[in-house]
Amino acid sequence: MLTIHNLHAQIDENKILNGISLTVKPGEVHAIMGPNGSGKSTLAKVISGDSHYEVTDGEVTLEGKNILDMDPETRALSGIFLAFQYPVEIPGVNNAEFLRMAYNAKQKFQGKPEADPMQFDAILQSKLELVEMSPDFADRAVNFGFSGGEKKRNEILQMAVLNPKIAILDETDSGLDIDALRIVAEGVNQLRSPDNAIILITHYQRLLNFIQPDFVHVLANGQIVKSGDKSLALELEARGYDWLVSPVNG
Amino acid sequence: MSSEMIEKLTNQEYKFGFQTDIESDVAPKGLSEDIVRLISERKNEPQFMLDFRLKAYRHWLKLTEPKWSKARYPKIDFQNIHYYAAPKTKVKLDSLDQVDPELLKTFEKLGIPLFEQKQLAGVAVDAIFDSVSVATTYKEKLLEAGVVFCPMSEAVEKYPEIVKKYLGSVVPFTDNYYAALNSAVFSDGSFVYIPKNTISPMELSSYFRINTEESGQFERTLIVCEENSYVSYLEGCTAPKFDTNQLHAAVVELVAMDNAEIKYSTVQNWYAGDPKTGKGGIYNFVTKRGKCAGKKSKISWTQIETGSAITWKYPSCLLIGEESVGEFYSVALTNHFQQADTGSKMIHIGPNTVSTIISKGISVGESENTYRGLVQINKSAKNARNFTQCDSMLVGHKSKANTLPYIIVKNASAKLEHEASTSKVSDDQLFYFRQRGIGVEDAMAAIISGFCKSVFDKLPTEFSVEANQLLSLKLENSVG
Amino acid sequence: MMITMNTNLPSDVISGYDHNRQFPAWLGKVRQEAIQHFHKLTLPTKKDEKWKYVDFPSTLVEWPVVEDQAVFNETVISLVAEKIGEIQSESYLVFVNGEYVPQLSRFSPENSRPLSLEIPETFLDMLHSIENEDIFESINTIRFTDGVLVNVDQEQTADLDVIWVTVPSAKEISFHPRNCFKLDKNAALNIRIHSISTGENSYFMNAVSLVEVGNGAKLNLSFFANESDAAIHFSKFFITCAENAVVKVANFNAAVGLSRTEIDVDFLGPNAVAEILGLNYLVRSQTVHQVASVNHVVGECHCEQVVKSILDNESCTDYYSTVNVAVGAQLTVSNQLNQTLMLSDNAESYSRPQLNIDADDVKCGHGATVGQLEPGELFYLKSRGLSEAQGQLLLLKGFSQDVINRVEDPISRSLWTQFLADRLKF
Repeated sequence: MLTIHNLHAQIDENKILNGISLTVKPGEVHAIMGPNGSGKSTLAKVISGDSHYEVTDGEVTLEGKNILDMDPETRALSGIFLAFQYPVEIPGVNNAEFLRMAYNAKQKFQGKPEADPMQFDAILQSKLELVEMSPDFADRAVNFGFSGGEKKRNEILQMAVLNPKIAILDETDSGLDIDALRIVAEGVNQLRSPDNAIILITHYQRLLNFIQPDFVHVLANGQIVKSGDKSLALELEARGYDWLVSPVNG
Repeated sequence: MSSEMIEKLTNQEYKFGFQTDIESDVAPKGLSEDIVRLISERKNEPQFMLDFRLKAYRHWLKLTEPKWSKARYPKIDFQNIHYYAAPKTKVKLDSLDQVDPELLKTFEKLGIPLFEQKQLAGVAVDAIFDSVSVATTYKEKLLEAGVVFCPMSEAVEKYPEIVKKYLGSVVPFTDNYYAALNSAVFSDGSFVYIPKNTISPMELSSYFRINTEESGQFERTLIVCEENSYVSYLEGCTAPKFDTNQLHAAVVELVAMDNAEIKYSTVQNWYAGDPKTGKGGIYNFVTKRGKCAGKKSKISWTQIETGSAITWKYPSCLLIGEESVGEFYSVALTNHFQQADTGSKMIHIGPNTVSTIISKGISVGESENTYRGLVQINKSAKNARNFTQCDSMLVGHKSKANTLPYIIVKNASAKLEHEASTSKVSDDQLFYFRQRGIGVEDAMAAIISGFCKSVFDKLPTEFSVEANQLLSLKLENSVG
Repeated sequence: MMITMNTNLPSDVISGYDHNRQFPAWLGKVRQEAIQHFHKLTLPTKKDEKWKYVDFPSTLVEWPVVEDQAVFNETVISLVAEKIGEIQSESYLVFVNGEYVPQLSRFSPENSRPLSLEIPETFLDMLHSIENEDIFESINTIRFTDGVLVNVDQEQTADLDVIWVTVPSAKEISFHPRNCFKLDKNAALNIRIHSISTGENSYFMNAVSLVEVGNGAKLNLSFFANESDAAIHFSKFFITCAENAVVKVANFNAAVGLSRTEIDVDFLGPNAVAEILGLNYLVRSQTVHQVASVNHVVGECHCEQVVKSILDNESCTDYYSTVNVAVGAQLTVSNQLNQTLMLSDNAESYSRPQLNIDADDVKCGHGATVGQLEPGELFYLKSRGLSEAQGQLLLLKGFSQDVINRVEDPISRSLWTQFLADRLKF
């Protein structure tokens, strides 16, 4: 479904991704782990089209279509969803209205009817339950004044509403207490289906106790240095990253 | 955000720029005592009005044009303006059926149908075309409730005592240059009188339209709310596209007695001038002031300023009555070459008076947006309170934003807070929207409207949607 | 308002000064130009925003400079000794009635000297640079006879106190100090200016200081006024900051009749930082005007202003600050904070924190509050057994401490702390 081939990217002349290749098939969950600064978040940003990063080589295709030429909104409409590590606050913009805008943009893109506020409210209510959020959550401004945990849950809520093909969760577990982590993980698990795929970016294997990955990849210095199954995450937990990170590429 | 993107976003067209081809009765250009007499005569005014106008005119002659605003513009030639222009009517209008169909069409095109069956439920409209009021809807229904809503010229005729008592009582003609000018030549405007213990059964609104080239519009609005009464009033403004600048120098006076409340909202969308050259557009030099004369009275100004080449106005409150409340909520959006110098004055005179100022300024393109506000707490205003918040947003690196507060406190029991911030639409915010599949234009409009939310919330519901759309329109690439 | 000046007076006076003190000939020319300019100027009026609320005697510019007034008596000596004891300074210049007094001073001539001794070449451009924007600047150029010149060389540091003592007499007299401080690359200077007087008569101090802070240089400048209740004290600081410069200016007014301090900061290179602090503790009929003009000519500079006042009886403060961000000065951060506590119904507060922003990617903001002590806070303290008066004093201390904590120079900080501790005593 998503194919990344030999991806190189940089920001302000600093090379961050140095040839990443990865294939994600429907129904799969891939975990990408690695030390700080290894390029995990950059990979997420590059796939979703953040213009701060420059792709210097390689390609990324979604269902055979090259997405690197698409603007960020077209990538999103095509089915790529990024749960941000630091969701930005947008004062004054109503959360429910924002979600309806996004939902309708997608409906329109797919040639489906747009939802009016009443119809959308029904959709939203069911998704709110999924992430154990109270209905007044929908009436607050997007991420504005949200606690860290609320922000992350709001990302999962959006994922639930938009039903993406590829969901990239960028350190969604960071800064969450154990209850919030469970809620987020359960939300993600319920959204898993044979038709979509999930890329989990995480520093710790804690999240992987809740969401079972099919593959685990270790990123270091902008390259995938090791891939394996769930047991690799446990090994990393025990041994750290040092044994995999080659100083030569630093 | 790239400058190209900004360019695209801000490149909108003015929707109301058409001119109506209508036969007008236009006074010769220029201002003299004769013109003042002519205006008064055309309106069949009683002697006291003519005296009022002449006194104002003679005072105006002694004044010089003020220069202290941030606005830059070529010198206005006051002798090159028509001070009176009115659609020609053979007979006095009794009903809307007699209104020139061209005029009705004009207002339809502006989205203000004047036939009552087509009206928004619960909104009465006074339509003012160039210098005169052409139609006021729901007059009878309002009168049943005791509410007087009519053109100023009619009020002078039918309610001379009220007009005499209050006209110039809040904004005397000696107040400033443009107030003196307006007092001398004002042609029409809306008059609202709410008697004791009366809640106006519907929203009142006036729509102002300047049509004649090189004419000025000098309307005068007076709203008086007696004890325990309430009214909500909204004004909307549009004008055709001309290469020359037109002067709009209105005066609005509000008087609220004990426990009375006046909610005054403005959606101003005068022609702003050519987006590419800045040529033409309205000079909107307006004096608006409310007097909270009574105990626990309240005056609330809400303004959405999106048009005009230059806006220069400070809707103000004189808080005289004990525990009276003054509010000012403003969104000013400037684009292209527009200049806005606007804000409020809150003068606390009575004890326990409270005022709030929330101002949101958005500067786009090469425009300049200035908040200028005075909060003055006099010695007599024991326990007065003020809260002021001024936020500016800059879009594009050629825009300018100024925040110029004046705070004067002469009473130790007063409490005052003022805060201001300047921000821009961040790349992160835009990217967040786009990652959710929402395009840049919609994202910008949503972010800016979110920035203005606390002010939009203050508009009457019927108009908050309109204000939001107007804002998107102003930012959009093309009008839909 | 036009004023009539005795047009002969200034030039006569100058030739007298320059003759007696052997000022260089070029200075005569600068002064002549200033005199010509002076005649084109009028007294500032209410229409001039920078002087809007400043109420001064219209004859002020005519108050004469009287020469050889350096009174050198027991009172002066003990006052200076007390001050020096208080500040524990190693290096100080003392001026009495506008004149340098070598007997009372101690300083290191390689970096500082009184202007009346000799003007080194390095200061010529600076002394020329003044624009004589208003009548008081121009009169300073015409009449200055003394002042302090400081030049801290590259990578060097200096620490200096300047003490201006005034011995007022029944006559209305004026002093016009002119200071130049120049910090070369990576230099550091701590300088404290103290203004004190021995009596309660009226006089006019009209100081102008030109300050150049070079690349990476660091300046701590504090200014402490504790003088006659009839004193009129105007001072202007023109400060330019080069790349990576760090400037902290602190202005503390304890006693003065009418004071107006204008601080002009121009950011000329990126990554410079400036802090403008003010603290006014006014308990009598005193008026303090604090004017600041922060000009972000280039981007990536940071300025914080914090001015707090405690006003009792008939005192008054006026804060007028403009932050100007030029076109293209991106990534500017500039904030203004002005807080006033009013303890008396006869006190007045004027506040105008103004922003003029011509660049879009900036963070600028201001806050102003005027009010009394929080009744809730006071109640809390009383519920812990403090008396009303004790509670008040404690809260006033807390209010002031916030500014004092920002002062970096330890001597200034302890001076201020001590002063407040003395005043705000249980």
